[in-house]
Amino acid sequence: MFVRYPPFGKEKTDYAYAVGRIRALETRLLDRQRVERLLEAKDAEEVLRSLQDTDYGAYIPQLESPLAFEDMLEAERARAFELFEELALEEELVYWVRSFYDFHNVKVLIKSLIAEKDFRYALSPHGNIPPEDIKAIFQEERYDKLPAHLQTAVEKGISSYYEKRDPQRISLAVDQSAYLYLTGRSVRDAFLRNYFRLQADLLNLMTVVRLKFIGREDLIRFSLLPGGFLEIERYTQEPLDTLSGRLYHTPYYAIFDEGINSLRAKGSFSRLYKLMDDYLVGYLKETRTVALGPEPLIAYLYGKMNEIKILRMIFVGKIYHMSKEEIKERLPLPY
Amino acid sequence: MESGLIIAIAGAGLAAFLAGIGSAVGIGLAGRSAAGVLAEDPDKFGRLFLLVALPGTQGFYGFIAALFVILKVGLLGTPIAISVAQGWQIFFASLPVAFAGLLSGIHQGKVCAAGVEMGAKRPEATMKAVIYGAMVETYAVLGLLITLFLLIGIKV
Repeated sequence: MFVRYPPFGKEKTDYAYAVGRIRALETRLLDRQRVERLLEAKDAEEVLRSLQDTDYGAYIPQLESPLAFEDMLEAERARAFELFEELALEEELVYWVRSFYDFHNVKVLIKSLIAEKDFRYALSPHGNIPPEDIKAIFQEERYDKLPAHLQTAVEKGISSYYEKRDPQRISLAVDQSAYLYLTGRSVRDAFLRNYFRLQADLLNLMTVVRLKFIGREDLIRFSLLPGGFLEIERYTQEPLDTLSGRLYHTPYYAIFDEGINSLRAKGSFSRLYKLMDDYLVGYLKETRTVALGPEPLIAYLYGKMNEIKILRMIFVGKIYHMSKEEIKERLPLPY
Repeated sequence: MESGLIIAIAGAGLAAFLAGIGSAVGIGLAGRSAAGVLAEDPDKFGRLFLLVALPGTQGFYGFIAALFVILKVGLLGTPIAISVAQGWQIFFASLPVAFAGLLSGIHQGKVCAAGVEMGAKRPEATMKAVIYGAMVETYAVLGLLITLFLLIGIKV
């Protein structure tokens, strides 16, 4: 097991231009001080005003009200994807990053199908298959048009729902297919693959904690994702009190030690979620020492996603008049 | 043409072209990084210029060494008759700058590319990055000096 983060790829000199551009763009990401200032804002309108001189400034004039902040965030996310596609020299890199959203769309569409409701608004435009196409496939029930890995996800998603008639099972089954696919050896970029593997570990440990906390340990063995670094089965029998101690030799110890303590004290998972996000942001930050390679590019994209998540939390918090501390408690560190 | 002279010319050629390759690759790397930064922030051209130009020196060192050989064997006028042994001496004397130039040029390019990326974030620290780049330069200079001393020492 690695000490803090797994090692990643070799130097790729072809990325000199891309990394130069990314380093210049990184100066425009929101830093801690800026996030702190946004938290100080008295309402969503003021948050929006404080974003005037950032990457988001260009979208603000088109917004009808601060409540439409989601449009602004989506536009920025689309820009980040466009940039990623432009700078990534290997098409497969774009493919793997986009694949995650294919699985997301499969999840949304199976749920739509089963609930007989239109969840189209929840479809992501960032998958490899355009939302209209994948929607048409589901409408026509022509799943054979999907690539094999998504066909399997659909089959598993639908059949797992009918086992217990539980919609949560859909997400779980599709996520299991997703992590199996995204952590496989076919993902040749070690940085990206390890990012998914770290996510799998963290989500699994979170599942163990969550289910033990609510006393549904019987569900643990159906709820785990494949592809992580940990042999997760070794931790599923451990009582919640000693779980973090059992993780002592892993890089996740600090997260779960502090997170579980906070869970016990406050009965809330917020701290644990935040620590998990911070750990992943820390992994992205490891790319700061990479001068030539695709890693800074991937890190910028996910860093941007993280920033968008931060902004969404701040906007939602301000709209619902939450206090600064309440919002901050769950807010991940910026990249 | 005598074989001695051919071997000496091969040495001069090697010094010029290997060190030249080093510089070309090095500038290629630093230049691409700088182009990336300038695409987003064109005002940084002046600050980054030195970092892009720095890996170019190896090519000049190779050129100087090659010129020194050319002058030594009188290729610009009437070539001096040199033996095969002297030809090999000149050939091997040319190698330090050739290889030091090739490898230091490439690595200096990498250091400078990283420096350019640092300059994108912390423009005020660009000169520090130049110093790191210049540290790699030392070994190209040492290679050139040894080549020149050896060439001076060879009696023709």
